[in-house]
Amino acid sequence: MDGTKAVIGAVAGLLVAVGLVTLIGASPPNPNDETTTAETTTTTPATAIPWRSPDETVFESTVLIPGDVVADDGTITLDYELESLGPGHGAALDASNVDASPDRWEILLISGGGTVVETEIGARSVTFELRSGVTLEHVAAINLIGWRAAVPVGETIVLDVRQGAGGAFAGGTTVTVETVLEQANSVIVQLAIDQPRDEWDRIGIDAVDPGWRESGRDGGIQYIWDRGAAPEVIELVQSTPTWVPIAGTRPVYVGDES
Amino acid sequence: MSRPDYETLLRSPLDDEPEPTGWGSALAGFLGGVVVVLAASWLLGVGPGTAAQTTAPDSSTPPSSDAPIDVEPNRYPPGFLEVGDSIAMKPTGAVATDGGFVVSFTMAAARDADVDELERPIGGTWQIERGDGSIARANRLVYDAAHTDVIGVGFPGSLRGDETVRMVARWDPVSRDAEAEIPFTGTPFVAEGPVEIDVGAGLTLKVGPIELGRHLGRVEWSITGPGDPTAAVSIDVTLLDAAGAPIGAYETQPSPRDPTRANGVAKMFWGPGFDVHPDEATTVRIIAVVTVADRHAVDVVYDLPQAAGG
Repeated sequence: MDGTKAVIGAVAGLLVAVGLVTLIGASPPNPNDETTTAETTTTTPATAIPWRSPDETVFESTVLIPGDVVADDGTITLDYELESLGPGHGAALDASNVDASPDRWEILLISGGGTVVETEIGARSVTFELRSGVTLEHVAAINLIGWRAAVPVGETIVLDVRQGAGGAFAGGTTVTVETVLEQANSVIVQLAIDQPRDEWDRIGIDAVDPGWRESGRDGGIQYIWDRGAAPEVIELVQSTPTWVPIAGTRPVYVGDES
Repeated sequence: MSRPDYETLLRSPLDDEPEPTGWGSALAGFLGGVVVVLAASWLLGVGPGTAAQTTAPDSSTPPSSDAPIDVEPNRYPPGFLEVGDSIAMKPTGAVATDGGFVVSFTMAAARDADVDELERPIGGTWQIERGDGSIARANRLVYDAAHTDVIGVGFPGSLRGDETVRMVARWDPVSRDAEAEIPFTGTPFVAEGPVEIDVGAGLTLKVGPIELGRHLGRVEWSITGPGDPTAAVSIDVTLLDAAGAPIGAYETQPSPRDPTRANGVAKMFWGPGFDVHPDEATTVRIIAVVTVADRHAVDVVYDLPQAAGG
């Protein structure tokens, strides 16, 4: 009699279990299923297959390719190259052409601690000052924790055509009228330019009115107006971009030692 | 020697428990059936979650060098959305300005694209869509000659944090070449002009004044035609000797990209490698490339980056 009951129970158990499996398997996707699918869709990208190098770090449309890592008397220096994934470039970029550039870095030590440093736009190496005796074997990781993106703003300022007049662009570039030379048929305006560190080697400032003709001058710009009475003001536009800081974390490959 | 009492040795303490009676055997059978079916379903890969794992494998694991790559790589860097054939864009930064803000749109080429064959957009039409339903069109585009994969897009107002930006048109370049010749009288050369050049499609390029020095040149231009046309205009000047042979050229560097200009100034440099002095020329050949925007509808929506202080 017990054997019969056991068989009945087993059959009932089988039926209930099959029903459970069918119900669960056919039920609408639950949020966990969606999460799983979404994660596998979005985590593949650039890290799965390298764009330029197996050791690369991608931020915005820029690829950072690490080079030599050298430890010397408590400092660790990482050299790197930058390449663009944009349609206009394919090779290593000149400093002035980088659309996004490393800005802030951190180095983490295995023993804990580390330090954060900043690099200039267009730099191709970063140096961490650490305590004496630190070598590559002590390094847990180097991370890029911030970068800057170029934003062409096309900001304008208006200056009086008067010696000593001045103005400043929001990015920090200041312009001062050093000299105004009034001649018989023309007016020459000499401007002194003071640029912050980010603005690089290009002045990138133009007069909006094409009547102001630019001529070369060391350390600044000289404009000539020879079309009759000169305007009382000169409007200038800055074409060099503003570099906007962007926070993020991107691990940087520094070799198998770390 | 007697045989060991195996029954005693193998006896479990549980053997002393009384055997189930009544419907206990049915309960045991029931539980056994459940266990059997669930175990079988697990082994056969049937059940919740496994479908997603089968169709979308965890591809975040970097491929090893000795294993074939079996995942489809993303065609663009993270965050970039396709706006055209093998071209994607992403808003990378924003800067507050006097009376508005500028968002930079950076371009990326598709992973499998031949960048030498790619046609880069020269602009676009964007609009801000705010949380309250209001829409504001971009009111200016900003170009930087050194950053040719970035376009600054200016909007009125200020960023509030509830906006998205929608790209509604991509501007592809359509270029037309135009030429004209005028006599050359030696440096410094100034021709007031304007020299009018028919560009086609109803457009006329007016060039002048033209100023040519020993190393530098400068040409003012304007574009006219029906409907207040605008264009990006690149002008080179080639000097020809009496036999009509070129002896050198002033070149605009870099080529302008802003197609929203009705007029402008081309700044030129006497090309390197020309040993002949410009004064040996007799003719100025003006070579212009007029690029206008060919608009194509797109519909791409982005979240906006936060604006940095202007």
